Amino acid sequence: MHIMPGKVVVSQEPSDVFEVTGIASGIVVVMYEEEKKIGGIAHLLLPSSLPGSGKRASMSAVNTALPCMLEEIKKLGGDPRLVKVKAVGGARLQGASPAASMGERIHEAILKTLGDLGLTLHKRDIGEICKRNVRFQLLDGSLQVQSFKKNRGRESA
Amino acid sequence: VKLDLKSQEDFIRDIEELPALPTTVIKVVNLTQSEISSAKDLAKIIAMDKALTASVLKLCNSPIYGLQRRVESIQQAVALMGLNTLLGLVMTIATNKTFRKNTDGYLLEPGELWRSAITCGFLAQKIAETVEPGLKDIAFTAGVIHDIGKIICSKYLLQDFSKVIEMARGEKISFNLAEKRVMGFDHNEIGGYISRKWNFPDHINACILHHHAPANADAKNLKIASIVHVADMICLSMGIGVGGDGLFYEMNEDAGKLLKIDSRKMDGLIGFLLDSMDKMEAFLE
Repeated sequence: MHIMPGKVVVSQEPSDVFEVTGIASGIVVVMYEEEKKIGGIAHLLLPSSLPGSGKRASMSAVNTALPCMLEEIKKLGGDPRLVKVKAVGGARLQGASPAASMGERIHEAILKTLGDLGLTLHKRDIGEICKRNVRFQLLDGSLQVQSFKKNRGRESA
Repeated sequence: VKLDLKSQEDFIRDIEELPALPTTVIKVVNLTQSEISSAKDLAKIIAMDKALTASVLKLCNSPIYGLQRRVESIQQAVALMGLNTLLGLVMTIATNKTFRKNTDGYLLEPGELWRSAITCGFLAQKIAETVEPGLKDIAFTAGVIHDIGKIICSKYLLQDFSKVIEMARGEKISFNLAEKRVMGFDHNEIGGYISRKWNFPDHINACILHHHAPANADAKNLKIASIVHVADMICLSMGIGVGGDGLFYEMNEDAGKLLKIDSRKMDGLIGFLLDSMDKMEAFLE
């Protein structure tokens, strides 16, 4: 299943595979509860929700999407203490200082929101000047990252 | 770098081989250059072309414009939406097929250049609404058309991509500057040739030529070129239209300052675009 920005998807179906392509400054966050094999994914493009925004913008915001994802995992019987979180993306434009980049602002918001939720970031592939694709498999919670860092760009992490 | 003569001849031939715009569209574009153009003239020209009329009406009735009632005729569309909005729609329809050509040289997914053209058009329009509302229709058209040079440049990048991306990465320069150094021309310049071939208005030409360096536009086109530049960079940051050239383009800080766009405003623009995506479907079909 292809995940577009503005959609928070949580599932317990082992055969589910989620993909996000063309990740630039936005950040894809996945949560995985290993014992019950419950996983969630979202492509985040805003550090925080904006007043008066619609559903897609709201669910692309870190402070709305991440609590929603954790809540859905809990509803399916997941234990928040067993949830592992990974984040991929946050690239910056050529010449942009890391501190001022949109990706870095989203990254900071993720760290803060995860802290508020009592979670930590277990693994990350953040920053640099490259686009990325990801593939998240619920069967084992694996997250494959394709980074376009080399000349014709295809390498897996 | 001196332009290689063979490459120059090749790409000029490629531009010449691009299909001419349909007669109706040429008349509409010429109308935009005329100081005495009227809504009535435009309605008359469009109404003579049934396929164009159907396409224009379809777009007018798409949810993005939020009209309260259905538009049934070009005359009604002109009255409700205005002359300049319709001119933008006609140029969008006219360039649709060109934008859907192969862009393998940029490693873009099929249809991605068109998706980025449309989203950039609507974002440029939104920026213009807050900065200088009188520019909003021009901003839409220029936002849609600005990357048209990639259609032809893509063919040459198929062989030179590795050199271009290595140079952009190694020398920390923009991808278009690396295109220029390696191939002797960049997609902006090629877009400029196409724009002149199709007799696009001066402000559209300026946006195509300077969308990566708006400061190079002349004073009367500085603001519109800056609007298109910022819209383009926001789209890229969101992952829209990102190919193998990735994010190797520089955001011009002066453009952001000129338009008074800080990070908070940028978030607002991203939110607008996200919430508008479903409404753009009619443009992406």
